[in-house]
Amino acid sequence: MTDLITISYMSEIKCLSEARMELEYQCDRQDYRIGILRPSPSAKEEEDAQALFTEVQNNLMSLRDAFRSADYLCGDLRIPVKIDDTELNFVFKLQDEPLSYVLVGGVAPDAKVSCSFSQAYGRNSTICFGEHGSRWSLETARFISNHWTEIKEKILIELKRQIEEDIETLTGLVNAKTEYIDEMTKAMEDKDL
Amino acid sequence: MRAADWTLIDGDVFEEIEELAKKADSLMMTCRMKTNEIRKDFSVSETEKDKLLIEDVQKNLMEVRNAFCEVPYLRDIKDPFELPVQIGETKLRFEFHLYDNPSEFVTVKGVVPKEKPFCESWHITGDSATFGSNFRSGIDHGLETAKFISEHWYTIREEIISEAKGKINNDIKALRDTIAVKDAYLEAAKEGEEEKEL
Repeated sequence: MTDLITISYMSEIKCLSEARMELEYQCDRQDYRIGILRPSPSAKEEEDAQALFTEVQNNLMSLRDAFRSADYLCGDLRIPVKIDDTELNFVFKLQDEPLSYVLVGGVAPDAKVSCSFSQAYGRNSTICFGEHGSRWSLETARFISNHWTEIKEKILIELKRQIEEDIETLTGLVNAKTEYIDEMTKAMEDKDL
Repeated sequence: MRAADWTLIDGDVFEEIEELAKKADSLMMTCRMKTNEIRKDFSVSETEKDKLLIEDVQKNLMEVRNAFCEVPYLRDIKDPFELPVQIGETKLRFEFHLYDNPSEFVTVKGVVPKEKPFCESWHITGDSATFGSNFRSGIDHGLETAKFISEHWYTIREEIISEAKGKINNDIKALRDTIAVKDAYLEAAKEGEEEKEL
């Protein structure tokens, strides 16, 4: 049975959730108004956008392919990257070939105003590069492209940190298991005696 | 093991990463061997008390999951709703799968330090135990984690809920920032139009 503490906490969460949905609705309305004001992209702009998107996609997929070549790295590799005020979360999907893509969550400041090319808020800001890639990511793609060298370096440093943390934990696991085996072996020997 | 092909990308840290990945991989192999040794030589079975404990943890986690599912915005999230919790040195990550009802479950990732001998399903995000309709019963997977969750349940529940609030608050902040930027854009566009008319 749900107790009073849970009920009180959950009612706060429900209130927050309602506030969030209201803001999302406001955002959608603004997007609609901006969409009316914004001129449609020219053929040249469309072409440039496609080239930019392809460039970012290729860069991210190269990293993904490199990560996939190491057996140790598998599953979802989650790498947060912070550039000034912008916090992006890169999720490299490394498992199955049909799922070859990289997700980027977060909001690039430039993307906040864009309506026709990005949904730039909350969880909806997740952008997918790869087979499931969409065009709704121009502003974020531009941000990634403008900061690519820095982003790549930060991704690698964070990955290094994560593996080092894994090594520390794995060392602890191996030691604990060894200790357990030793203790159990000794206990069995004592029992035999 | 496949050979890591870091030549696909350039940079100074790759060699270091490759070395680290090899080291981690080798430790992981050793870990698996030790687990197999433990399983082979010292077979340990779940007691009736263990089963009740797992059921209790499962019930508690599913209760929180079901409460999250009552919130429309959370219910619509397709990815697992991830909430990290740290108790002392133990870092756990609770993943509430809220979207698909038929496969309702909660995955707990991380390693409970003092119970390390039984941790088995290691991967980069740590050991994991799943509770719910996909629950993988058995001492190797869930029991030690379940014991830890049971011992610290009230603190864990409080952390889970406070983390969930923090996440939604962050979303609200991001939305407010976005709205402010869009407002400024619309205002500037309006002024531009007015100037044109003049």
